Amino acid sequence: MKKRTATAATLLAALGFVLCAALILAPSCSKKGSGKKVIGVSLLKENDDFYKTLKKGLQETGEKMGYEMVILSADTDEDKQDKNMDAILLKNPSAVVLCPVNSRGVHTIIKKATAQNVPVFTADIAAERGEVVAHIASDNYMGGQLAAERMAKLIGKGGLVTIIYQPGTESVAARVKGFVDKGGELGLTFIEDTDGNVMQYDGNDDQQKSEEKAKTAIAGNPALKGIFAANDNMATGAEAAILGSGRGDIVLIGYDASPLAQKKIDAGGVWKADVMQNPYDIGKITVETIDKHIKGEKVNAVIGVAVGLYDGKK
Amino acid sequence: MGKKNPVLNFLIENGMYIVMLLIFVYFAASAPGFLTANNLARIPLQSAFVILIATGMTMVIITGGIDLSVGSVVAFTAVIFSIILKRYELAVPLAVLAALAAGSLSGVTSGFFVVKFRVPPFIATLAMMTIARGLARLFAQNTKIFIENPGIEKYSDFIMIKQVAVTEAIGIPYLVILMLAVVTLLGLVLMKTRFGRYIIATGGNEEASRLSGVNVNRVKFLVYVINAFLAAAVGIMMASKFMNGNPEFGVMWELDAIAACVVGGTSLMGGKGNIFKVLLGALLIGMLDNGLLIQGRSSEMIYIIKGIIILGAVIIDQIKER
Repeated sequence: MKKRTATAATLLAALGFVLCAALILAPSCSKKGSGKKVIGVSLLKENDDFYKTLKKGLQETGEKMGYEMVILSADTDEDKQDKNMDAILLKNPSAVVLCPVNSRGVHTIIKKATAQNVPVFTADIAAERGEVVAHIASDNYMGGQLAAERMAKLIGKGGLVTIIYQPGTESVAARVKGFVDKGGELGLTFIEDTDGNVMQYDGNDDQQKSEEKAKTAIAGNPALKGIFAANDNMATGAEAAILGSGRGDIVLIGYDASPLAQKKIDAGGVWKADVMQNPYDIGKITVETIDKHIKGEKVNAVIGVAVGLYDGKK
Repeated sequence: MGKKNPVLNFLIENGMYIVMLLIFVYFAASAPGFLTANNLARIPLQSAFVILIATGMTMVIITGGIDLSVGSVVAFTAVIFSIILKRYELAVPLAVLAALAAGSLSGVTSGFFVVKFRVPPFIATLAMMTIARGLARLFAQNTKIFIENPGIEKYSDFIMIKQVAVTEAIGIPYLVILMLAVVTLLGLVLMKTRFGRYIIATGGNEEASRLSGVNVNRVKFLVYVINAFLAAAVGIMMASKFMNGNPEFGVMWELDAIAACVVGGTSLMGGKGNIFKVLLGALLIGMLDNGLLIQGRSSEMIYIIKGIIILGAVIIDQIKER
């Protein structure tokens, strides 16, 4: 009896190994060293729509231009990004692309590449220190401007608006600045704080908190006509606040055009539009920029990728 | 079992080494760049943090316990260390001591509840895992605490910690030297000292150990403190290496450490385990991570393949036991 279970277990183990060997071997047979120039990439993560699309842009453009793309993911873990870089450098890459997990600390990882004279590019998220040839990312300022234009069109000149944002993030700050600058130009008025500055409610990238802050703004300002939320997470909270306070006339514009946001906009409620980034173009333009750099052309240090507006009408 | 079949017997007896060898050969053949001195030397370095935690974890598991909190303790300590340096501008050695104490306190708490209130270790440390992670996020206000005191990168004592975390002496990274020293020390403690024998005895048969005069409670309490202390040391080195205290450090590290223990033949039932074999177990997992990354695998494939290999290695070990 005992022996039979042991044999069964052995068989099971053997089966397991055959299975995993097959799993491991199957996809690796197709790609062998090709003598192509290598571009190594360490993405911030690869399990969300934005980065999936960005990866596709990198992959397809790279292949089209004759590069071998080695695209790894740091899974939002700084230590893994460090290991990604080690693995990439073993391939003697012609360039490395990073979407830094930690903007301020990534220079130690960048240094590993520059020490071997491998040029480093950043995409989507910038590095605060370290030697980077170019940074390619969405033009967030333009995104804020687009949102303001649409807001002005929807609620008219003089309409009172406010902003839910998250402090400490450069991209969000640029969105807000674009919105405030353009909105002011187009005659929107903003809720002001006691010092007379444009009030920005801290939603902390949190639905619950954004809902609370939006509720406060709505309750204290009966004339409020529009809310701009600097990302979809905070927009979701703001939407709940608008609906919860029975002010279906308030217009909401968000940022990112996530699938959930698109669904809400399509449904035609208070959520009217969303600024939409083009992650595919970020990937594509990153590879094109690297190609230019490798061919000895001069490239700009910061390259903005155009954003669009999603309003359900396509 | 298996008296009639010496080949099968041999394969099962040396299961982990054979799996290691197979994986090594496979990567050498299929991952260009894997089989370079440069890369091979890097595997112990890349695994060092997890190995340090796994040595403490081995002791906990041998007593029949488990510690799920260590990954969170790494983050908690890194945050505390960074805050102390940044806000209070304490001398670096004091900051290190304070952070070590804070991190160890989580082990004191887990150990206290396990021993005094008979809370199952899985539950006590599960609670500590979420509490320590929560505290790390709370203290860091959900962001990273950057160590950016003017000139800190020139303080000799800070450089020392950072050097341990990132640089090398005579070609061997300090971190690897430290890791090997800790493994050797605790491995010997476990095998050669009275405390070590008490740990094994406690896990083997707690009641019998108690009756023969072993202070079982003290032994159980101490292993959690030692484990948390090691996790705290790792947290400080992580903060020094990346120059920030990130409350998201060390996510899932407890699982890597437990996997290393189990692949290294430590019995989750307690009473059996060898820190040197756990070192090999951790290196096996480190080699998998390294090789799969060089092959350019996506992270979801790495998770799946790692899981299968860990399961396979453990199955072989289980068969051996029959």
